[in-house]
Amino acid sequence: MSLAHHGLASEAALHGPTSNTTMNSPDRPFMYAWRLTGPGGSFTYERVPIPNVRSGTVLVRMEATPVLSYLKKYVQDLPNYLYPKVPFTPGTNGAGTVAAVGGDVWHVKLGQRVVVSPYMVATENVEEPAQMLGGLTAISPDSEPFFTTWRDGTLAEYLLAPVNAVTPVDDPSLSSDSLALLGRLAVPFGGLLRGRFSPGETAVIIGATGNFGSAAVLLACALGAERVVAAGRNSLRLADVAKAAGNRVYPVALTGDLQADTAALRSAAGGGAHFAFDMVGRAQNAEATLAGLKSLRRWGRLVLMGSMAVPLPLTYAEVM
Amino acid sequence: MNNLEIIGHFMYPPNVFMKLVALIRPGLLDLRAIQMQRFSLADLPAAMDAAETAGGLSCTIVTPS
Repeated sequence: MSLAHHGLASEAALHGPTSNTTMNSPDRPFMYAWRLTGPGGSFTYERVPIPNVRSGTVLVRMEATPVLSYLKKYVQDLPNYLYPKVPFTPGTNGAGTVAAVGGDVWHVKLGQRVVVSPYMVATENVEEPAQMLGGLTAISPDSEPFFTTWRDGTLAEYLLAPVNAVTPVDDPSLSSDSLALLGRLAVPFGGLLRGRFSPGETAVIIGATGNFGSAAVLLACALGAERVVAAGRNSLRLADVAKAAGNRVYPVALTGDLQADTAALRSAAGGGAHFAFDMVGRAQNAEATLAGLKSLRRWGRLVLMGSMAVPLPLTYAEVM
Repeated sequence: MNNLEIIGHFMYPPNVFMKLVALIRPGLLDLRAIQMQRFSLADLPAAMDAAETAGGLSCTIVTPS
């Protein structure tokens, strides 16, 4: 398999020699990486070249990579994901150690442990810079060239990443395994921040048994919630989440009856919630999300971070 | 009248990992609530099967050998 096959030789040519870079590349030119030829294509563990660092990048020796619950389905073919049109390495998050540093990198150091984020946003000062999830998907058609460049993810021994896709963590008490969990928490944290979740508030989490929803329950507690209402369909899994997250968590099993579910959420929230979080992926109806909306007190915020296959119908006067 | 806000949101700000570490270090956020199961990177197919059936508060990790 040639370098050019992976788009590496051409990129090296484009960015010139690496004489201005701090090099401490691995002592071998090859690594093992999982390579997917495309949705439903071959998925194999292959010996491939280790990418060279270039300006603005770091090479990370991966130490822990979390496996998405839907990775198997993604490899087989998932609708609504924009795959690269060339072979690539899947894998979104992870943690590792910086093995080489490119030029134009001012803070991240060789040998530093880093958390890797797949969420990249083009750094130009424009209204709507392209965004993408490395090792997973482009977000919009205009992000395709950006994604093609940074398509390779974390299911490999080494990852070449733009320096702003890594965050150094110097605390040795945090294992790389622990740091690999942080991507799971980062997503709901983004929604809690965006919705201005504040200490002393009560949060309703719709979809609390999922990977992101259960992480949202933990985070809302960590951020000082008075109560966290963990709502979902599976009462056994809700009980597990409530047990793991502590005594401020109130599980509510949703029935699909909007009126009854709204009443149950409001009651568990002590009369009403300040914040509601919709984390349900691929919802087939709007009932659970609407129950979340209706559980809010006056001035409440509903943050949507899941997905829904049908429109979300709103009653104007209820929102106003 | 309820003065509600409905906010669509995608992902997180760039400093979110620093904020998470700052919650973990003093013990405000305890990652032990999330069960980890580990596989080697070469064993990814087995790890994918495990991840598919694992519960919400569990995480499947692969590590290069």
